[in-house]
Amino acid sequence: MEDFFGAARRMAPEPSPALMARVLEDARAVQATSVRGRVARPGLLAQLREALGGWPAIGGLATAGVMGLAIGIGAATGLGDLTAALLGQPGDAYLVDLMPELDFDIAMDLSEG
Amino acid sequence: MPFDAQSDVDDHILLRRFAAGDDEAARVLTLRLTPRVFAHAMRLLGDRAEAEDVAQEAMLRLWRIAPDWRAGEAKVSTWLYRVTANLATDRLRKRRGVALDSVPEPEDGAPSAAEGLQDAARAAALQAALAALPERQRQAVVLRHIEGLGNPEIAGIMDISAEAVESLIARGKRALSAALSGRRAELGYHDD
Repeated sequence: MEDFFGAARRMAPEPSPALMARVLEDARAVQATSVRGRVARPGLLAQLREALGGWPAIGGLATAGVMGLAIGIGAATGLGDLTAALLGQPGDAYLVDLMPELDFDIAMDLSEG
Repeated sequence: MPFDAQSDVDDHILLRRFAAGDDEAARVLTLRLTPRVFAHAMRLLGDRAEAEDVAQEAMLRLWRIAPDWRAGEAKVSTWLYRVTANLATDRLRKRRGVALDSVPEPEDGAPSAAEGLQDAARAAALQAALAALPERQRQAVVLRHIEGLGNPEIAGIMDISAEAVESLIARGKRALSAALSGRRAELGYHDD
């Protein structure tokens, strides 16, 4: 039997050049599709930028950030006076219970376990 | 003949490069794997046109699975033999009842004309005898004795135990031997 198997190995049927060309064509088509798919999907930063509204929105955010920083550094003393005027002198403290009825609910929950 | 710098690179590494868009990997994999897939399909089907369709489809499935290929899970060649055999089996089921009388055409490039003719005659006789075997026996015999795979790999391809592979091969070879014994004289064997 080995003679027959050896003959079969030596006489291996070979693919036609047309088949080789079709297979390579398929390979490149699949490759182009999958690579294009990867390129089409934006990265994380790009997705974040789009979610915020694109470059103009990013520009506005940056300006607001810089202005906030400038106010924080430049107007610290003035803000201290404003805070005192609005909220009273340091040391004044108020305890305001906005929802006193909740005390009863929480006590009931605790007692019921 | 080394056709390029990637000719020694493992299949699964080339497949990863292919998935990353490497055109050279596509070319090397095509040149390396298509002849094996086609030859296997040809031996299972015995029909060149159908074997070409099956080979192209099997390779297309490989290209599509490339981005999800997990290295170490299976050899690329093992996966391809399995897909090729499944596609060939589907074809055989569709044409069941049609005589399997087509055999491979003698190919050029043999060592000498006389030896080439004898090889071609023996290969054709074997192909005809293989076509008469049950599908699973044919697949196991081809993988073991023509593709040269080991029983564990064949078991993986056919999804059966190594013992079952051994049994299929033994029965297949007995049937082949019986089919070919009547043609010994015409194939260049002399009982003297």
